Amino acid sequence: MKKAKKTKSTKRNFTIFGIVFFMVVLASQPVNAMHIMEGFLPIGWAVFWWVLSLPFIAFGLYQVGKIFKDKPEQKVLLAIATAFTFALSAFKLPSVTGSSSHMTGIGLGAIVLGPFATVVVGTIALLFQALLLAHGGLTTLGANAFSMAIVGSFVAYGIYKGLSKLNVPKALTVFLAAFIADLATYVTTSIQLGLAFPDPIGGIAASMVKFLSIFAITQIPLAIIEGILTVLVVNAIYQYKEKGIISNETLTDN
Amino acid sequence: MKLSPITKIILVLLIGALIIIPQIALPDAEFSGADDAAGTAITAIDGNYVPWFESLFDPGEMEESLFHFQQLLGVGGLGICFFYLYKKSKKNEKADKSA
Repeated sequence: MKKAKKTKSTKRNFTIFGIVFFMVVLASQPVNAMHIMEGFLPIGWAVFWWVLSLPFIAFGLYQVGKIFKDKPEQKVLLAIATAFTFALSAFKLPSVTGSSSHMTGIGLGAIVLGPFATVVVGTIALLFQALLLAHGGLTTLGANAFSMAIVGSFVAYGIYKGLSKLNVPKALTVFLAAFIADLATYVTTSIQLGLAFPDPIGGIAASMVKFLSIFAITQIPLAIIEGILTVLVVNAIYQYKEKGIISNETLTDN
Repeated sequence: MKLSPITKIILVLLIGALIIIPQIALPDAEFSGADDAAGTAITAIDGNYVPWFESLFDPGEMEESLFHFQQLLGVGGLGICFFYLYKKSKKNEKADKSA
């Protein structure tokens, strides 16, 4: 009797995912959105962000290697995080500002894998889009990896860890981690563009505000959607952890 | 952490509302990409800026299908992963029962 109930709830989980992704597919129109476009950062800045990002990517690769070697049972989490980032960064959604943008999906990885492995997950998604979709670019990959894969995952991880210590309800913790990480990515992009293209009159600050107004407001509703999706997926993963199917240290109860 | 079915339904409805509201509220908007707007802003700040590198591969008209390909990889991958976990938990339950 109890078993039948469990199976039913798993089926319901599938149905919920199905409905969510169907809605998102219906609403999205795939055209390019965010990421700094190929060639749109002066060469000095392109190199600067590459140099800053490389150590994170290198250490991240080492961490991913360690998952494969020492914790093969966590490979499925790596796959889920990668698939989530691929899916979310491919859906361009309309927003309240009348323009559209897409989500990052980084928060989930940071929560279930930790920040360094997630840097690799995010960079792979960015590389895929830069090479195949002419979306973002190779010269700007350093900058885009820094804003999305690095700032995104460390912000998400920091908020997740911090709020977990404060005993904030888990669902709210997960939501805020993913929501703020998504916004932090776009704030970082605005800072990067502001630094590279200071306003002739107002300087770096004025230019930053200009880019923030383009990205940030558009992003708020999408960041909320990303937060909710992350809560739903983390909840599903957590149920499997409870059943002993997945082992995971970062996903704690409260 | 365990969300009740009702919470999940509310969350899903909320996502639906967040997607639909902008399209109802702004029926005339084109919803063009925010990074195209950023490109325009760069040109407005520095009219002389010329992008110094072009994409190695221009997907052209294939762009849309490639985006769908990425969506398929992502959503399909998630489906496969959760199906794997589902199967594995069923197997464990069976093993527990026979033990």
